[in-house]
Amino acid sequence: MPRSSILSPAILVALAALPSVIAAQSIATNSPVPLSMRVVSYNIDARLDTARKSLDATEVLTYKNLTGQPLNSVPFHLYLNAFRPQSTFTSETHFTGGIRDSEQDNEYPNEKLGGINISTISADGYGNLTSRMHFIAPDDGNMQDHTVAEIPLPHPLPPGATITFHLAFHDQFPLSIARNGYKRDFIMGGQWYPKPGVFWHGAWNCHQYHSTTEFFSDFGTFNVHLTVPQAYVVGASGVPTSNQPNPDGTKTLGFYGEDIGDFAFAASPHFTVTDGTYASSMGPVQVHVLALASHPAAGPRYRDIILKTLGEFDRRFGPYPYKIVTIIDPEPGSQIGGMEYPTLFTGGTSWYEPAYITEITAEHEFGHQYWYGMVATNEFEDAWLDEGINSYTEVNVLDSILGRNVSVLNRPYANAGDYEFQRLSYAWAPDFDPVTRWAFNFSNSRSYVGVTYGKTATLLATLESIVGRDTMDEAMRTYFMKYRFTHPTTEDFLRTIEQVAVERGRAKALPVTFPCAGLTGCVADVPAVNSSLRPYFDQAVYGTQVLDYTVDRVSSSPVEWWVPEPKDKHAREQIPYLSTVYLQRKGDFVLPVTVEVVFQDGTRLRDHWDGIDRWKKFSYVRNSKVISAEIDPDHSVLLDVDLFNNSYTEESNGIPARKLTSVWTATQQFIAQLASWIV
Amino acid sequence: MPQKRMLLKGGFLLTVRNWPAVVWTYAFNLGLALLFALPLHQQVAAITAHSLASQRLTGAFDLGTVTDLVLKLSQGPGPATLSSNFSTPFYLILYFFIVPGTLFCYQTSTPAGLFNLLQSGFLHFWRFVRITLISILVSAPILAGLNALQNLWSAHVDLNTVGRRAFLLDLGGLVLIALVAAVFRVYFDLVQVYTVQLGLIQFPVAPGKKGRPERQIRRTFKPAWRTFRGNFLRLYMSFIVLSLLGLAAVVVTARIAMHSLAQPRMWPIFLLSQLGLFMMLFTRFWQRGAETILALDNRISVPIEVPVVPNLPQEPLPEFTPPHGEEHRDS
Repeated sequence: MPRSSILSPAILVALAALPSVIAAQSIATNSPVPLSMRVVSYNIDARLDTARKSLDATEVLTYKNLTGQPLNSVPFHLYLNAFRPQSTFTSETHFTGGIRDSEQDNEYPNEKLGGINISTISADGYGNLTSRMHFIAPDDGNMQDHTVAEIPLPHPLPPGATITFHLAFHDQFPLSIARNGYKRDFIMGGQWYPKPGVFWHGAWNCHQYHSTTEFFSDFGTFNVHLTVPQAYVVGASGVPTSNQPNPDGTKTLGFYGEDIGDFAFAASPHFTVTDGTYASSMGPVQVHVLALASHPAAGPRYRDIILKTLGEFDRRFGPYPYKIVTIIDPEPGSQIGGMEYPTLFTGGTSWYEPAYITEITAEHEFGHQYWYGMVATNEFEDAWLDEGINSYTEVNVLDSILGRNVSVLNRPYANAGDYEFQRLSYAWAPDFDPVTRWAFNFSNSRSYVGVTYGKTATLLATLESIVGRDTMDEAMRTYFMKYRFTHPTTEDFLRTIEQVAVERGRAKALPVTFPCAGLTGCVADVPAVNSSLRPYFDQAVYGTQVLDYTVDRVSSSPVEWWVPEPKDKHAREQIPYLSTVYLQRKGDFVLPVTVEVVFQDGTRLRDHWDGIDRWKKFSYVRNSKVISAEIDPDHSVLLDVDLFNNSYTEESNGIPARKLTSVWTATQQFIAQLASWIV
Repeated sequence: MPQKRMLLKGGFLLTVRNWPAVVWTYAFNLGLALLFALPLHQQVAAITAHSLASQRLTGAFDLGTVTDLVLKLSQGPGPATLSSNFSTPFYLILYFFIVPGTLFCYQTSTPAGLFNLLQSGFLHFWRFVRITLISILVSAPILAGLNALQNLWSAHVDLNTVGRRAFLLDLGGLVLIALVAAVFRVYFDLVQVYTVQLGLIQFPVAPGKKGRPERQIRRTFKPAWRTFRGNFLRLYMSFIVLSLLGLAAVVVTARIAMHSLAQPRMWPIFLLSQLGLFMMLFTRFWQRGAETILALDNRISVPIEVPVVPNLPQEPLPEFTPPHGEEHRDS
């Protein structure tokens, strides 16, 4: 039968209804049913001007009012407007430092100017709303910020009703800043379309864009068509649905995503494709790598680590439900590397990369598919719940795949482990901010990074030593499965750990206290679970206490000290010695301590201290002297900021100091010799 | 007629013959670095010597532990890391004494003992300081201009190319700047050689009085330029070859030493790195030797106005003592 003969009118009608069919069949996920509430639905048609680095688009946005109350206005994020000198983002970057750029010059380069302009906005049943739109600045009152616009509605949107907005907007992409913009002929479209805030905890949550913040949005569906030059290869959130060549030398690409909270794309004429498939517990997942031709090794490296990472996440936390994950290899020298979007992320590599930076970046950004993509916490207010938890799981997953002490560098002459660098990033700025501080309220960007990423990874690793690895793994899995496709809070996460730990007997349930009992106007949250873990949470999560225990003194003397010590070795082994080990708490963080004392005869004893007092003395009478004492002999309390003072050994070891001095001396000599060439 | 000896061979022989010069310089280079690293060593040893955590630096070289140590040092009471950087300025000051002393010994066959090196160095110290200042004044604008061009080139490369090709193109620009800087270095090396040579001449100040050495370094610029221009290719190529040789020695030995980092002993790291550094220093003195050979082959010609006083005996004209093994030549 000729192919044309099957194109009956009925089939044409079915094809015309493709978007709804697509949605019903869940072509973007391996789930037969919707996974999220799907508060928003986007239909966007965009044309990318790769010469002008700009984009013109129309957007049809349907918003479901599931808030249970009438809505009088809708705020929209206009993130691209952050890339102006007047914005809060740029001001904060200039004065307190940014994550990717300092912008400390007193001149803002023209090529870094970016912006988004809504030319028209209307809503079905509400008329033209363009004139009603105005900028607001809910965080700092900077009316020049322009990253949030509010649209008051002429009449309220009732609970349960939907509103369909029609927008036309123009984007100007900046030379790459903070995950966005262009570099050479590469363009990254991140946070590029008007996106409403999230109605959360009884109010709109729509923060301005800050130098240290990321994003927060509702789940929904995205049906996006992008028109780009035919030479360009495009990777985008969701699954590709169409590729239509146009007579003007362009092509229109279709993408569809569901149960995702954002949509991003990357376009370059230099992408090469490397694909792989992972058989997840929900169905096959395509690992789709778009690597630059100038990084020939990157495609297989990204693919291999993500295939292994998918396996680890599936096993540890739960299935990856989407049908695809797209990895973008960004242009070198751009600020676009290492950023997550739903079902898509950017990696980071270079033409020469002998360590595991490529793998670490890819693993970390993939982890955000879980901790941000599905467990969609508020990145403005609870950054530790995505970046921090993700850093913690990154360490564990990379430990499994690459090895604990070699997951950053594995060379015969030197090594480095990821957990150590997470700990160190915290140790550089340990006590300015608690992990729960809103991301844009940190003292500076260094504290934000050190605490949000490093401290969280370290405090959760330390928590493993308290509740056990199995309990922690189960708690993480429970948390993921319970809160995926929702917006959990800090307490949701902590209570999950407490519940699992109590159930497994690794923590004690304590009576729930009611801090507000009898107090008028008190609105403090009451934890549903109170447990023996709360003191740890109060210090490590909500507090800024610093943990530092040290072996202060070690000594061994004959009990009968007035009797001369025998010269014979055998005789010396027969006399009793009084050995004392003094431990000290140098920091203000209180944690029970285990100490291992090793005696000359090979005996190893472990003792415990509640860690509350400032110091503790342990005494032993044995026929052998103490040769070493070590706090945390299992090396699991990584939150301790000084690991060198955790132990004392009688035997002096000069090799480390001599090695380092030798390297330092040679370096100084080399510098001196080079300098002498100049003079 | 000026001689035209092989620069590399002649320079090598001159350097070997005056081996104490390079050995003393190396000894100062190492000694000062060790001396100023001592507080740092003590500070590191205080942290690591009795800590089990430092075992990861004994039979291994854990970069996390190294970074941890750096963090601890930065929080420590004494600025040991900062003070250990002071070895470079002290070395440079000593270098201003040793280099003129070395060039003096190269040209006069005086034994290159420490006393001779320093004695001659004292005589020429301020002249060499002045030469350095002039060399900076002359080369800085040109090198700054080239650096600005390099920035433009880098931006152009960054705009159009990525990956290994971009790296190589960018590196090409930097190598070009280094080659131009080497031109200045070679010329002012010659100025330094001629300055010492000029200092050997006792100029008569007045009839019947003892002459004094010429201290006007500007009088060496022209002869240095003449020699530089007339022998540019072979002089410059010798300089570049020896520079590359020195750098290669450091890179190769550093790479081998690096592979010893994880061993539970420090002497392979120390010996290998010191071998490379000594070889690098030796090639620098070899360069000086080659330049001296050239300067000896093209001796400075000083127009001396001898006052005609019939009734008084004239001062004898200055005379060079050639190094051992060199034939006496007229200038």
